[in-house]
Formats: sequence, C-alpha cells, structure tokens
Amino acid sequence: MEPEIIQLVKDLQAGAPGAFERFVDLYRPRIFSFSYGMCGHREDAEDVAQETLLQAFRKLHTLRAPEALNTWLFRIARNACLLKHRKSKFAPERELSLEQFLPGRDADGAPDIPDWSRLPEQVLLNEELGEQLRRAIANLPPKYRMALLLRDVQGLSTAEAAAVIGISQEAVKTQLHRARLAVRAELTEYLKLRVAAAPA
Amino acid sequence: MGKRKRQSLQHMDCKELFALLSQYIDGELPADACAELEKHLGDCSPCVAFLNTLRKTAELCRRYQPSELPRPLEARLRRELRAAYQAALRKRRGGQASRKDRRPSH
Repeated sequence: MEPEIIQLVKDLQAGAPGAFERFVDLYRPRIFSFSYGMCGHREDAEDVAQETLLQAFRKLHTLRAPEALNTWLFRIARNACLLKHRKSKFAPERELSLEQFLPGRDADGAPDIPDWSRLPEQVLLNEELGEQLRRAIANLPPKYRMALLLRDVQGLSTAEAAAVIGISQEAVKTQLHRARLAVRAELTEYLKLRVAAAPA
Repeated sequence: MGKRKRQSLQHMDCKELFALLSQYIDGELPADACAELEKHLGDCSPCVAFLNTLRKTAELCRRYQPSELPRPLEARLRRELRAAYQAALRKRRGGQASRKDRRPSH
C-alpha cells in the first residue's frame, strides 16, 4: 500500500484537518466504481457508496492497521452491495468452465486465435471498445465479476480480495482467470474482424 | 514442488497450461511451473497469441471506467458522513481518556 494512503488513514484516525475531505474525495469514486460494476445502476451505486462510507466512519475503531484499509473498506462495500442487490438485469448466477473458453479450430484444424493485442493503441483505447468491455464485465455472473472488479479494476491483491469475499486465495485465482477468459472471449468476437483486416 | 508434480508439468499440453495463464501473468506461478510454461510458449505460437490477448484483457480491465459517474455529493449527505466521523473521533478520544484515568497514579 502506498505510503500516502497509510498516512491518510493515520491522519483520519487522528482527526487531522482535511483528512475527512481527502478520504471521501479519494474513496467515494472508487467505491462507486466497484458498486456500479456490481449493481449496474447509478442510484444504487451512489447509495452503496454512501452506506459504505457511513459504516466505515462508524466502525473506524475496528480498522486496526492502515495497511488493512482495502480489505476492510471493500468488505463493507461488498456487504452493502449484497444488501442492495436487485434481481440483476445482467447475467444470472451460473458457473463458467475452462472448457468453454478453449480456442476453436479453423478450416485447416489449426487453433483459431486472432492476436488482437497487436492492434494499434487507438483501436484498443477507443470509446467503442470501452463500451464492449463494460458490457463484457456486466455479462459476467456476479461472483466472477466481483473477483475481476476487486483484482483488476480496484487493484487489490489476491490475499486482499480473498479476505473481502471470504473465500480462499485459490478460489479467487480460479474465479479471476475464468472472468478474464470470458471478457477476452467477448472482446475477441468484437475485434477479430479488425485483426483480419489489419495489414500483415 | 515434488518430483511427481514436476513430471506432470513436463508433460503438460496446451489445455493443461491454459488453466495457469492468469497466474503466470500475475507472477503467482511457482518458478518451476513458470519455466515449463515458458518452454512450451517457445514452441507454440497459438499459446503465445492467446497469452498476449489474455494479458491485454487484464490490462484493459485495469482501465475500466463505469459508463456513469457519481453525482457530486449533496451537502446533506456530506453532513451525515461528517457527523458519523466526528462521533467516531469523540468515541476514540473518550476511550483514550478513560484508559488514561485507569492508569495507576504513583
């Protein structure tokens, strides 16, 4: 964890001037991003962010070490998401298997794996691809979406994500891998025509 | 890793290594499994292409932004948060004061 964050938590616990504003300004958007990814609905995500911060301030005395902030805060956020959970307009809970993501074969029997990672940055960074990415993440079953949001989007470690969700680190690794495979598959469907059209 | 596991890795094919790719990207694979995977990649361009796109997928996810941003925090809600924070500080200071009171005086 960055030294600035550790200091911010110490300042917050000590009541240092400005610490409250800095903490809210930094973490409200992050918690919103996480809960929006889980809930898919702005009002719900704002409610979750408010409830998370409220609970965090009420339970500030339970944060024993500043280094534990991510685990502590996102566990509160996860619980707030679960309480807020509506019947999802996105994918229902279902299992993802490794087998479903194994590459297919082309007409000659060779694995069909267009390498779109080499496409120009302006293609990979454009808003349309951003929208495809959001859709792919939203289509993930909730438990895989949570692993991906915590690990890849919020940058928590495997150990931190496992502590937030309440599962083993091996389970986090499995869920993250399958989430990435599923997102990759959707992006590949969208990008493979561009790979075919790209100059050799 | 034990000898039996090492023999298993040496005989791994694309499908078996497929399960390990995220751990490899994240630097969470033990050294011997890493070495076997890299040996396989040296000779398997489809696996290299798959790894490249999986790594890029993780990179794109790190840049994820929700399609909507939160509205600015309303004054009423900010006051609610501040009140909770100040109550927590008072409780903490009260607890520290009572611990000082309990210390034996000499």
